[in-house]
Amino acid sequence: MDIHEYQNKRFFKEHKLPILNGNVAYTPKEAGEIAEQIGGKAWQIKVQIHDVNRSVGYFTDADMDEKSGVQTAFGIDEVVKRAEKMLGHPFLTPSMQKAQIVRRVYVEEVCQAKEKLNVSVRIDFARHAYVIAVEKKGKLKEFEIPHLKPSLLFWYKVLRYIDVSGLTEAKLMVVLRQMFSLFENYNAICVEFRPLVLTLKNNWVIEDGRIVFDNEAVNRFSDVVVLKETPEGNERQALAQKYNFRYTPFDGNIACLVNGSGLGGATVELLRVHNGRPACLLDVGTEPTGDSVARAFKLALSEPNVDGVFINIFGGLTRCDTIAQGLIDASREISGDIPLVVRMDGTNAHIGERLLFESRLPFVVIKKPEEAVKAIINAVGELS
Amino acid sequence: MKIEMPTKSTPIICQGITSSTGAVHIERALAYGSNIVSGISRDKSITRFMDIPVFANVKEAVHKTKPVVSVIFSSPSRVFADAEEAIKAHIPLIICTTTHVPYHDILRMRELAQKHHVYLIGPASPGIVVPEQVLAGNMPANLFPKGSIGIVSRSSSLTYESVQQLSENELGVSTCIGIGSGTLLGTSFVPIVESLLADSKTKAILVIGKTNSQFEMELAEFLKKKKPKKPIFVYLSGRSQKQVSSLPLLGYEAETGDVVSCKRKICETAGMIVIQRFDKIGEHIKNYLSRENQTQNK
Repeated sequence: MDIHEYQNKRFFKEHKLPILNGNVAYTPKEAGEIAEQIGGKAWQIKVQIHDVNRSVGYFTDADMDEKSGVQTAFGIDEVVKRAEKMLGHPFLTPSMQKAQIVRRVYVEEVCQAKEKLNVSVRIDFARHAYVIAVEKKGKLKEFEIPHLKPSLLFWYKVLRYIDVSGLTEAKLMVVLRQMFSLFENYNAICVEFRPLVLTLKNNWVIEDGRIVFDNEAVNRFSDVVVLKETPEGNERQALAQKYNFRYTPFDGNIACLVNGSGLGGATVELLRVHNGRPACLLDVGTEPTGDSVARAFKLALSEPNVDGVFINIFGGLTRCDTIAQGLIDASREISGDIPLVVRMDGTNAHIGERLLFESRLPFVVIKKPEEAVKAIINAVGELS
Repeated sequence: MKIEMPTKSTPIICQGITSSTGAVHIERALAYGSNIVSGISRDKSITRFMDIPVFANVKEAVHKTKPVVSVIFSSPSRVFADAEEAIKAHIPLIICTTTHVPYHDILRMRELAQKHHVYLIGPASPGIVVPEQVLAGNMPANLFPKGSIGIVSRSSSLTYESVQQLSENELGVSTCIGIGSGTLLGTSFVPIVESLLADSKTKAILVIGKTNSQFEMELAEFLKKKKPKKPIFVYLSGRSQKQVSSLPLLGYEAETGDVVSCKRKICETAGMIVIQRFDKIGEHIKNYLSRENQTQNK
């Protein structure tokens, strides 16, 4: 789970980590007021969206002179003017499918840096360990934390690599240890400062940074869970999350409904082998209920670019008749005339197949996965 | 230290026996013939459940009933504490079926298990099945015919799928272990494969992996050195999940079709027999084994 920069900075501040003066603005007027409160001659105005690639994103409005998501303004008037051109305007980054309207900007003082570092602490999935990564002058070095507990000796090793002197080093040690305890206390996947800068007055301050929360852990922290929001254009994902199944969008026209992620990967691959194009993958988990199958099926049917649905289910403890009943109930609620191919096997598969057949609904039931895949591809192909 | 696979007489404890999932699966395990000797419940007023003695803590249960395998059915919020209890009581094999366990908890459980020299399988493990002997976990054991193929898997759906295909091809299973589907796990493929290689009832091994982790590559490394005589089949499930937007910095390479085929190639060079299609797993193994039999008979 991602949160906005201003929310990240609130966390940093609450955990005694040094940040620059700044605040979030919802209107241009607010942006001006914040700049005034901060004081000084120059300010940064930053777009607040859930995307790490903000710095390479741009405003898609044609008439904008400055298109960047991070802009510098000199004078209060300029702050207001720039905020006006950012708030309410569509912003796009390379990792976004569709431009998003900017609703918030962060206004922050500008600081001059003597030194810049990128530092992060994160879970290393390959090593099964916590890792501190330091990037200094473009060179990256990683330090694996032994037994998940950084000792004093470990911290000195990191500091020796960063190589700053005396009091500055002592101050850095405080920041790094605080970063680690934030990471540990909030069960985060990653806490990173990009960059952490040394000011002219020899203080370390986080210019930009973020916390990546673990979706499975956020419910443990009331101050994090309230920050959850549905990104625009991602309502399906949110719906899937709510009903506890996984939704992966693709760019084709066949929706795939499966139980289990392994089977899902295999199904998508088999479809592609036969030149079928998946529109999305709905994974209801290995042991779904009839209800969750029905909800996922309805979601698949309501997708505008779907020309056909392929259902590939293997019944283990959840019996195929339960799943078939879920499918039947859902398709009685939503009428549609797109091709539906069902392949089911496992516990009570024959009963499930009979139920589907006797429902007189347009389900085509095929036992062999490969033939089923060919059938859905052909059916969809005939439509277009 | 080698993993001792359970048999019919292996004493098993169940943590979370009175939870809704625990109760269901333990009832099935008992019906299958598993030797469940004790249970742990948070409800201190319960002392017996389905005729099994229930204790308030693992230490007491271990002292009185001497289990060597624990199956955990706790909720995600309780699972770390429960695993810790089992690990500290030195139960040598702990199967954690709980899903949705936070990453930090998994790493801490794993660290603790290594420190105390016990095996932690999972989390999100569907458990272990030895057909006609024991069910420890939540797999649909009735689908598993007895035979000589050892299965170790990261995908429960594909495990059941392959078991069905094996039985359609008149093959069966010696032991099946689900190690969990996550990217962080208590135990990877290697120690399990090692134990299956040493098992006399297992003539061939089927590994079901995914492409989103290093476990499969680790196994390839191991097999390259070990050069086992038993045939090892592998199926790697292709790409299903798109890159999670919040994880671009974690050093994951983009999972394109090429990564899948590249990983399959690595498995091949390590001497594994790569099965390309999930719907041909049973057929492929059957054909290979009968070809091998013919050459031996000649």
